[in-house]
Amino acid sequence: MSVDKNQAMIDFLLTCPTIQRSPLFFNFAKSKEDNNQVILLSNDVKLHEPYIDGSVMKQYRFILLSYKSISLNPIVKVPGYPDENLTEIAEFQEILDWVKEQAEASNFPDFGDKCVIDSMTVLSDNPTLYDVDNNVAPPLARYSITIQLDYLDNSLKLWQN
Amino acid sequence: MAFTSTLLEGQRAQRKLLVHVAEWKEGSETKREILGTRTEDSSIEFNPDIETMTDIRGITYTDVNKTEPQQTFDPFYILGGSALSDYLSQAALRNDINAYNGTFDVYIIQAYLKDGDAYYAVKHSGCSILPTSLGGDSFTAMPIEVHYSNNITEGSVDKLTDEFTFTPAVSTSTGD
Repeated sequence: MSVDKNQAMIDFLLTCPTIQRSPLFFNFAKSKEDNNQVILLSNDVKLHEPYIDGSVMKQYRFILLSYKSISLNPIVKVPGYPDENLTEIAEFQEILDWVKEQAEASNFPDFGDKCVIDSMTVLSDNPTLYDVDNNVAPPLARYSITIQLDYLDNSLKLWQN
Repeated sequence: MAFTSTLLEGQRAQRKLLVHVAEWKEGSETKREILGTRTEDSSIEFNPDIETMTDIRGITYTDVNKTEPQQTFDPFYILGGSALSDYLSQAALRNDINAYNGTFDVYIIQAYLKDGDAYYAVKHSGCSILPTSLGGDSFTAMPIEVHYSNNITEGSVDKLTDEFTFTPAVSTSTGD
């Protein structure tokens, strides 16, 4: 039975403690502080690697966005007054680190018994400033990370073992 | 048995329809494993020993003295659930060449040739499968070479799983 990989990925992300503290959306989300948004990327069939037993190595990639408030105040080195921008990005970094930890522990989303996940990689070591939404007041920064899963799709494999 | 092709006129046979299965014993247990998991490209090289002679009329005569079929599977990864990769890698690290010298039967199945529910197959008895290296970059790989014995039994298999039954053909041919 084929598994909805988007649902499997969402179910997986919802086990992240940092994500549990904030709403998670798929593809569409309101610009609101601390919202997290999964945007599915097109996964090019040209990147598929077919093997001689009929199995195919595929990729599943998506962007995870996080809406964060921004500060236009200069950084001051005063104890007890952390810079808001640094604090917000550090919070998103927690999600990135969590994904890496899960990958290292081979704790992957459940893509079903026809798929074997080989690796789950965050394609950067830190969140990227995706853009700033100036349509809301106050403006919100959107930070992003891209996550890629390489998995073996055995559904067209001829030999069953 | 009369095997016929299941391919449509002009249709190419997908690579997965040519199947290679290794069979070996570990203690009293017989194990089987399909070869080629996560291998992108692998072909049987028949390695014919050819002798040619051209007579004074300019006619060329060709003699094939023998073939020494061989096949490389590269990459061949150390994979969870792969008894063959466990067996071969341990043998390689022990330098136990007797573990892979002539200890394998290898089935070659043409899954596009069928007679009823049976698939055409040949069994090479006493083949050698040897690892050529062990290591790699992100994932541990152990490329292997299969040296076919040419001790061939022609027949068929009843299904495309590790639990298949090989049935020899009535007339058995043995190569030399």
